[in-house]
Amino acid sequence: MFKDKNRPKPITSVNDIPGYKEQEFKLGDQVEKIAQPIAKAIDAVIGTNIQECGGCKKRKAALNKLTSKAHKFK
Amino acid sequence: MSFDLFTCCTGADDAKYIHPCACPTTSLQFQAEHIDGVLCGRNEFYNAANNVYHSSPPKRYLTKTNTYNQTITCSNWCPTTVFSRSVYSNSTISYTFDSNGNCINPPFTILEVYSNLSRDDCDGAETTRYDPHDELGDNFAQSTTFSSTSFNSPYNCTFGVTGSNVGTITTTLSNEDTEQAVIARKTPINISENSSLYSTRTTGYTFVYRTCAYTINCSNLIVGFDYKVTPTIRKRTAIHGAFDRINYGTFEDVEVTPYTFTATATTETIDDNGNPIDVDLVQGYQYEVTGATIEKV
Repeated sequence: MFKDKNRPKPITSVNDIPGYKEQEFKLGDQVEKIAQPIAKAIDAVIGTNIQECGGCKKRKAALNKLTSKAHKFK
Repeated sequence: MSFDLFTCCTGADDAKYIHPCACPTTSLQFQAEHIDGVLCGRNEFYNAANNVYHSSPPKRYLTKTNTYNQTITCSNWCPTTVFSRSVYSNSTISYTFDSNGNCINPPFTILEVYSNLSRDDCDGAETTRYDPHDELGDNFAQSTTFSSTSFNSPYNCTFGVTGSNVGTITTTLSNEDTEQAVIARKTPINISENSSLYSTRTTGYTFVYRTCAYTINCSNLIVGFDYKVTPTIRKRTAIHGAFDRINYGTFEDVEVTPYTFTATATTETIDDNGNPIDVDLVQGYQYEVTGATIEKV
């Protein structure tokens, strides 16, 4: 009695939510977003090449490996 | 809205009229049973370095079994080495529940294993204590239910002799707890609420499960007239987000089939064959009954 004529499918996990997208959260990428503009500015001023620093890339990869999946709405 | 001298009001605001005609009205009575659910047990393992991630939504397990494979080597023991064992039984601990279905952590227990390896004049007596609560840390997880690590440490063999202690501790999780099991074992709380709710977990272990039912009382009816009653219901998504807060979507109206009847008295109670009418209950949604309209047909 008085039941929903358009009863939705149950949402059992985030994957069932329309418009929901699982994304991998990578800490290394996030740090890079902040650090790269700074490195670029330093390189421009004093002529270094911090942007392409090999150690930085290794640290980025290590951070990415450490961090886990997270969920974000589109 | 209209007003007719002969048929009285059809949904009009009775208070506006000098001579009110007593429009038919409805009132609703609700009863709801509410459960704040939380899965019980040991979280499934997680180790991003091994590509072992929590399920979505994450799981918990009621039983944890530790297995110890251990070899102690001491040069002053007879024979020289031999202390090796695998401990499996009795190293299982289980989460239990109180009478209200609330989770009880396993009591602290120590498993003692005694071995007397002495032979001739050598002293190889040994008692080893195993704690089934041992946690190896998620970093050793090989799957969401299996985690193991090895150890290799010095061992005090007595008489100033240092030996070695080598082995593996393995933890296996089993007996998954489920939301349906939580709902079945928990004692619901009766509350006055006009909505049903079953939230969806995302990254946490808690959820809300609330059933709701109602009756509609109609009054100011005119005997012999036909009436159509429609509850006003709306729904929205309900997703458990971070910090155990529920994130709600936008309400949308729910379309239902109206109930029609011929008045045999000035009042009428609408229910479901003598029982309150159940509000829809769908996981991931809240259904809210905000009122009911009545009109003559």
